Amino acid sequence: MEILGASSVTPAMLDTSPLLRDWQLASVAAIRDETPSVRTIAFSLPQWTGHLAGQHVDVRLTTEDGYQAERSYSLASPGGRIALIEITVERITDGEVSPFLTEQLALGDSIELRGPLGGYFTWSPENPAPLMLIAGGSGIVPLMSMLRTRTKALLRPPTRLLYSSRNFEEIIYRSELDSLVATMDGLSIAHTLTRGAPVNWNGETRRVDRAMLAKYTFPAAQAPHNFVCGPTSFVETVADCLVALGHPETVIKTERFGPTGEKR
Amino acid sequence: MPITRGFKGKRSSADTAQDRIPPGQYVTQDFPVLTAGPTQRTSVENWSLTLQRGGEKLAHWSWEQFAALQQTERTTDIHCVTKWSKFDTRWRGVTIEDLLKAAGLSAPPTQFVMAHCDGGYTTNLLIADLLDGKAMIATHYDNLPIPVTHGGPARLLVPHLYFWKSAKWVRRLEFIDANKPGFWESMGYHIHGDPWREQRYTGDA
Amino acid sequence: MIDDARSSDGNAVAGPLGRFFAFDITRMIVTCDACGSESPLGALRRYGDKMGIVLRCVRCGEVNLRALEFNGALSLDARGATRLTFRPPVDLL
Repeated sequence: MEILGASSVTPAMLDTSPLLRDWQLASVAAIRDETPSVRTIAFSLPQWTGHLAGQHVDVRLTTEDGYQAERSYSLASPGGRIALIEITVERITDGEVSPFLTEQLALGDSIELRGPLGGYFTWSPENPAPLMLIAGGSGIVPLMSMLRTRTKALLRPPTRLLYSSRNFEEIIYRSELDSLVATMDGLSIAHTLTRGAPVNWNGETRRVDRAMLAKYTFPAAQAPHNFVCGPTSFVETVADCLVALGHPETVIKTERFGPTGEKR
Repeated sequence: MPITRGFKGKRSSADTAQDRIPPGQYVTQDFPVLTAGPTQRTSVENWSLTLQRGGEKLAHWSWEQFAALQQTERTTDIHCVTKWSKFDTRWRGVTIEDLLKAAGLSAPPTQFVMAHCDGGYTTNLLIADLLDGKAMIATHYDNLPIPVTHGGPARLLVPHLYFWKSAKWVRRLEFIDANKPGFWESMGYHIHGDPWREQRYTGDA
Repeated sequence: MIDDARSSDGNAVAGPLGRFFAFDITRMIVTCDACGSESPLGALRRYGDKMGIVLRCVRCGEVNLRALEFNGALSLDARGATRLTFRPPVDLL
């Protein structure tokens, strides 16, 4: 399997692929638990056009009596053409699909999958602008694809990640993020925990607000491209603050997960 | 269509009363929330219900006035076009008959109604589907005020039709001269919506 | 029932709605008929759940686009959008 660089996959190529419309059977190749409630599942696929960081796939599950459920999951694996892809799924209590994916789906099982999908919320290393990533909870997944894609690229723009999690144990990809920062290639990461921090924590300890964004994001004058992903209320608060900090809306891209801002 | 090994979804097992389940439905213990827009949060202080025809207001009630009307309790099954059914849901509110009576209308002025809701949602109904105890403006579910996510402070309840007709956050009933399609009906859902004849989409039954 | 892990914006309609189009619709710019604001479809707020697709303006909340697939066909209502603009992709933002 030849692994081509991320730059070999372009938006123009993805737009015209007929494979976007078809369901194919994806086979579970590997499983890795990231946190007690979050699992990464790797799939191998018979046909894959490659994908851009930030894109997602749809999965479809079918019961014995024909009932179907569909969900969308961001691709966690780096952009490129390798036909082994990863999604990272958070188990939602009382969810219909995520408990199945995180507890029952086993190596060798197959599920239907469609993609890659979505050219709006994407980034590729050809983009030289400073890269600002802001994640809430499982919103880190597509942004992690961007970071992993960046690591494989020859040219890496200055990049910052601001990542909000409930607590230390729930920081997804924690040790990989630490390793990425340790390479000292122009990436810096700030964490904030909203529901309590360990004793020797030196990150932030509150919900993301305008002051925190002013502290950790690129100034608007540096013309960064901003990607914000997480629960709806998080994304909308952050996007509004970025606009207030002077960033044009055209360089603020959003992806909202979960119910539209309401608590149930 | 490949079966996903081990996936069961969240439906109840099929040993519940089969004659109570319309064709194509499955029974759920949940009460799923579906919405065409953000949850509406009208306080009872700001709430009112209006009956109108054309530009003419036929009747108008504030929350206190509405609460003073004849109340009716009802236990009924409900059926969503997205295929879930829920048995024995308990509601309390004012039947449409009692509403018309309170409005001093001995007969409905037309044969069709458009329900208008906070947030802009609409659904169309035949008068025949609203009378004879078939429908109410409900304020309570399971003996408690209806939560905002389920349409509180008041929603239409027309349980013999698919549940998209039981419009959440209802504020106005407009008597209209023709059966004009509402929000979902104008997209292709059935103009009538009888779950027992499986009238899901335009062109069905 | 909690609808787990479903994107609540236009990004998630790339599959169900996008499959009827020859290009990636999430990058299509939607001009809101109510307030005039312009937004990529991927950034619009998505509602409708399993009933269908309802995409609303982020600025004013009015409905820009509705879509429903039934009997194998797509029903698309775009009267909430004055204009839909699509520019073929360049390899940057």
